[in-house]
Amino acid sequence: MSELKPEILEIQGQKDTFFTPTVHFDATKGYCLLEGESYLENTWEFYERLCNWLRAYAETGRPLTFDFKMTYFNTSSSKGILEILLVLKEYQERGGDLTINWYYPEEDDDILEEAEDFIEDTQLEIKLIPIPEAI
Amino acid sequence: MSHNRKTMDHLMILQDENLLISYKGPVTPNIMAEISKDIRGQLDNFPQASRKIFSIFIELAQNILFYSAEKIRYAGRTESVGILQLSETANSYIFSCGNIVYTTDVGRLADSCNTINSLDREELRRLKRIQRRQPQSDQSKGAGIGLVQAAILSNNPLDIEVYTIDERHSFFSLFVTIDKE
Repeated sequence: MSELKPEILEIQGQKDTFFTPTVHFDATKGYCLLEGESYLENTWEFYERLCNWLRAYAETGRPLTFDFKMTYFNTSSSKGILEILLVLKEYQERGGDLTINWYYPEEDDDILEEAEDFIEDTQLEIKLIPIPEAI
Repeated sequence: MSHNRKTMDHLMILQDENLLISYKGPVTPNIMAEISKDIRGQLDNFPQASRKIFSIFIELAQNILFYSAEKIRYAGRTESVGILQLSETANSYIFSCGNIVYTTDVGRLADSCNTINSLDREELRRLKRIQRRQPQSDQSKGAGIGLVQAAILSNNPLDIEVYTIDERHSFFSLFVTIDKE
């Protein structure tokens, strides 16, 4: 059994040469957030760390809400996001109580299509929630 | 050096269009970051087109990084050389990228583009999902999925041009048209 450490996994989002999304995974509240833009130098390592945390959380059997608020990710990152969803899928299939929300800018059809493709790929129930355009 | 002359021809043709960005040199993550900032800054009148071009730029510039057969030493590292251009017409933007490839790779690249152009949008989305599921090692460094993504986002066929440089080398250019609205 893997150990759930840290209880709260925080990664500050950054836009520099590469784009790191903001990560806020909180085992004490059963809440996970992945937000922003993802285009990374070591994409696989980054997402594998998140997947390992989620696998350990899944062992607790506690409920989980996962919010995606991504505005951009390259195709390599989309493989990482798919990996996260497959971990969540496995958790749900073993009886885990899971809610997934996918927030997207309402004017961005491409990001909505990405979410639809993830649903098609994983057969997970993902709630699609448009965010009104900021003026 | 026939490819240089052809590139010049291409630049002349582009005078009918408005050339927004043109770069030839080592394609490094730092340079990609600068150019992509410029893309986001310059095109904010057409936000959806700007987002598409930005995404396509990242995917295709990475292809140069992986595939260019032309390498130089730059800042102590070996880097891939390529050309990146963005031009504007009345109704569209055209993003193009080009680099020297080994002639033995041309057939495979052209086949990929022709396959992509033969598929409709739903088929492309399906192909992308299939490619995304493949282990990284089977994906030949990910080039396939980047081209598919460019085609999905642009909603237009991919145009390619190939010039033979010598027996072993060719110059491969890819043009992606993104409608403004």
